[in-house]
Formats: sequence, structure tokens, C-alpha cells
Amino acid sequence: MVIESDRELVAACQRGETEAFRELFESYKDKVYSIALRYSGDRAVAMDIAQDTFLKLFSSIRDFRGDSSFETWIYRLVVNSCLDHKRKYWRLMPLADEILASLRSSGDSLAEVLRAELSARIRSAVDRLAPDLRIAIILRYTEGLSYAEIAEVLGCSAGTVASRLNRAHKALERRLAHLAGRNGGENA
Amino acid sequence: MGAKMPDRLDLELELAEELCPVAAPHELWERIRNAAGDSDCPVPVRPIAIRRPEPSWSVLPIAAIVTIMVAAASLWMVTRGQGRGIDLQQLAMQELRTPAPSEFDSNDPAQVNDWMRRQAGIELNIPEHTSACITGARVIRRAGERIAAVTYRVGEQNATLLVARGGQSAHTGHGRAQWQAHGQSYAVATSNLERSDAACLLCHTAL
Repeated sequence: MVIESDRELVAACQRGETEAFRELFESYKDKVYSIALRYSGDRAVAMDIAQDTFLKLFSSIRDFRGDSSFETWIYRLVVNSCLDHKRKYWRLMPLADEILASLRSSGDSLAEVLRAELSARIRSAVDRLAPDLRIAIILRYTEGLSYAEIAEVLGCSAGTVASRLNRAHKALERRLAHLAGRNGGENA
Repeated sequence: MGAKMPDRLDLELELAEELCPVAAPHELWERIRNAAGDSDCPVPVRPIAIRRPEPSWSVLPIAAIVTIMVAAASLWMVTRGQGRGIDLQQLAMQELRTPAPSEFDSNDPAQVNDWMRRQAGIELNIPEHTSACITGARVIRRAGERIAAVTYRVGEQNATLLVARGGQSAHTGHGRAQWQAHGQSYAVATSNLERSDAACLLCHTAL
């Protein structure tokens, strides 16, 4: 749904009003950056993707005619930027990096250490999903979109979205199954 | 106290937690502006094409002379470090009196040097072991130019350093409140005029 303030903002941007661009950026920066970060798993890459997205948005805003909602349009732009983005480099042993970083930042309690390890493994498992599955997962869990909304952003049917989410869930459950029920602590 | 992994992962709950939205970093807007070509408007808005009448041939020589004069005047201004009439010293005093919010909060000289190089293309070269405590940095935009502004403290004294591109390659009056060196113009302002030289401790180990 296009809220009225969005409609006015877009119209102001289309007239070339500088302040409107900043306002539009402020409205959507967190959404765009969140998707970019959760997709790439890397802050520097997320900044590149977010920058690309806003530059594309600003330079093509005159072409936006309101056929779809503005929010859907922005989601499409960021999703395309994510999918277009080639990984600049392969992180060496990303999982080990993340676990070590989590250990360094967490407290001393074993519960916190285990929680940090679980977090790192979930992020790593998401990171290894195929791009089309990963983007569906991120739109679902980072943005909380419905199947129909994801389908509109990705330009596919709701059934395809359901299928991709189902495949992603199964892949994640398979990769994370060994973590469930693993005990630690004083009695371990 | 014992600790254990959950008996059964509630995958949906874990994903919602791990993939939650985050706030975009403050420097994102600056990056976009810079990438868009450093204009006040971050957008390459397509200008509306206006059909103008063909210029009269008799006007062209005059236009050429005016263009050359303007170019020469601009070059003279830049080589004097007076980029578009900006009074760097006055601006430094103004920044000190009414400081604007910093765009980059770090007291690490290397990070501030690096940030300013990326944001304004200005080399600060604040030494790693500075005696001053950096409190922030931002880029001031005046008349289409970018000016590096670094705020810092030396003891109880507040100080501001401004650096702009353009200036003589030779040193001129280094040690005063305003000088030029290495093709850049510098100005400092301090809250204690009786000990204004303390501001130099940002880059110098001793006075």
C-alpha cells in the first residue's frame, strides 16, 4: 500500500526537490540496509548494495508511475542489487571468524558462548543458501512480508514463494539439526 | 549453572531473531552524495530540455573573452588558497563557537584521517600519538568546496581545525592561525586565545 506521505514525497522527488530525496532516504534507509546486510552477511558489501540501490532509485524515480506500491518498487530495487552483486571476495573460514568474534564479544558464561555459537551457525547456514532461497527467507523474516507480498516483489507466484521457503527451511533444518539438544555446562 | 543448546530449534523464531532489521550506518547518506557527484542534490535529475534560440555570432567573441577572464580569476583565487572567497579562519571561529553535530565520531587519528580522505579527498595526516583528544569530524560544504573540520580538545581547551584543498605548495606562515602547505589551506581556532598555540598539539608533539 502506498501511504499518502510516500506519494507526496515521490512527487516532490520527481519535481527535483532536494529535501524530498533526503526524506525518502531517511524513510527507507533501514529497510534497504537491513536486507543488504542480511543477504550479504558483510557490512562493507551491504553498504555497497545500499548505495547502489539508492542511486538507482534516485536516478529512475521519474519513471515510477505508481502501478505498484512504492514500497514494492524499492524492495525490487534492493533485491535486484543484492542478486546482481558479485561477492568481492571469499571470506576464509567465515564461520570460524564469526564464532571467534562472538566469543570475544560475549560474556564469560557458557550459556552466552553457546548462544553466540548458535547465532553464528544460523547466519552461516542462511549465508550458504542459494540466492533465490536466501532472498525469500530475508524478505520473510527481516521484513515480515506475506507470501503474496514476496511474490509481488520477486515477480513470481505465491506458490513459488511457498516452495522456495519450504526448501530453504528444510535446508536450514538439515544444516542446524546437529545443534539441537547438544548439552554443555558444568555437568557436560 | 548448566547451559545447553535448545532441545529442538524453533527455526522460525531463531530466524526472526537472527535476521532482525538493523539501523543503517550514518555515513550511508554521505557515501550516496559522494557517489552521485558531490552535488547538493544527490540525484542526477534530468533537466527539462528547453529549446534556446541560436546565439548570435556577434556575441560569441565577447562570450569567449568573458569565459577566459572568469577562468583566469578562478585559477588565481585557487592558487591563492582563497577558494571562492571562503575565509577559512572566520569559518573556524564560527565552527568553534557554534559547533555543528559531527558526522564521524572517533578519537582514533588513523580512522579520522581515513574517513576524511574518503569523504572530502583531504589529507589530514594527524599523527597516531597525538596529544590532543579528537572529539569528531565532519565535512563542511561551502560554495561547492569540501572543507575538512576536526574538533578536538587539548586539556580543557576546545579547538577546531579546518583544512581545504587549494593553496601554495610551499609553507606560508605555519604556526599562525591560518597557513598553507602541500597544496592545502589550514586554519585553527581555539577557545583559549591566550594559549592558542596549544591547538598545534593535534599534529605536533611539542610547542
